[in-house]
Amino acid sequence: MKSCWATESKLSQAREHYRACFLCEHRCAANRLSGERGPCKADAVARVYKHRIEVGEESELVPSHLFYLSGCDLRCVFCIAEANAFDPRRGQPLTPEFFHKAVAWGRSQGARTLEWVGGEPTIHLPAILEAMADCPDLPPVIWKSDFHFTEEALGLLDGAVDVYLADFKFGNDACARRLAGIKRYVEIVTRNLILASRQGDLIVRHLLMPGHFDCCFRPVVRWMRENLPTAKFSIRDGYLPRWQALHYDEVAMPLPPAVADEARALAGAAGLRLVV
Amino acid sequence: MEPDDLSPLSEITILPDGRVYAFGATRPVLEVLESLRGPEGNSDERLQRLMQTLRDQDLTREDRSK
Repeated sequence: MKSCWATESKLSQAREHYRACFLCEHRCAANRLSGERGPCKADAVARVYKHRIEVGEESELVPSHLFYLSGCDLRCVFCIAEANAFDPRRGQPLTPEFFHKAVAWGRSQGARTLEWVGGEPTIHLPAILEAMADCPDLPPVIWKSDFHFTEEALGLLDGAVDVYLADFKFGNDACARRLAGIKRYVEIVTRNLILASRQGDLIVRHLLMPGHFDCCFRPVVRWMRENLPTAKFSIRDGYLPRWQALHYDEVAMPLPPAVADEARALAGAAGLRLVV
Repeated sequence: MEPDDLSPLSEITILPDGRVYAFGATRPVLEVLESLRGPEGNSDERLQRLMQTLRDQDLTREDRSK
């Protein structure tokens, strides 16, 4: 039996993005079925390069069955997923049959939630909706995303996702351009945060990075206080230099120990709703 | 069904100053980290919270199965 959100109209609209892709704000319009590739390099097959039960997410979400999809629309130089994030050919195809068996396995292992992660799951949204549409015993679904998606993509997620887990990485466009290769970052992500807060539970994450306290963390806290003061806010302090971060001076080192305490104090003083 | 992991490793990184980082944290990984308490028995607040969450869920499951 199909989930109530999984109408043929919605699934069909989602599939259309494989013919002219407007899933992320690169808005490349690539026909992924005919061999065209946008900045994410993805074709029309979503691939899972890893799935397992993890307990390192926010405590209200664990144990969670994480499905890691290869491919991403961003190019963050510090990406922890490294090559898996940027090569959408990695992993095995996400088919409904594979997914349904995997979900049953996850349930048998005690998973309370199911989380789509990447890379960036949004670039594979049509295949994900197709896989979830008639999946029996689907646990609450978490959408872990860079929030660089379009309003059209977010509309397709409405009803299919229970918790939006947003990576609010940068507090200004210059850092986003330099470290992730994207434009209009703040405008796009903050628009999506507001919209997502209206269609599901929202947890906003910020990964503290060395050298980005004043330019990124402070503006993020300020924006949260002014626009989403009751949303859950999660400060991640596990930054280690990965992927190409060694080529960027300020992020080529671990986070100094005192920064996390300072960040939590600042967010607490701003009245944000901190979760761990 | 077994998971078809193509990169099945979890990673634990220990910095020279003693800070410990875990990527791909499974329950067994958390249990190992919990055993690595500092000299005064200190343990990370987040780690404690996660372990407590898992133990609470164990109790709930046991209650339901009675």
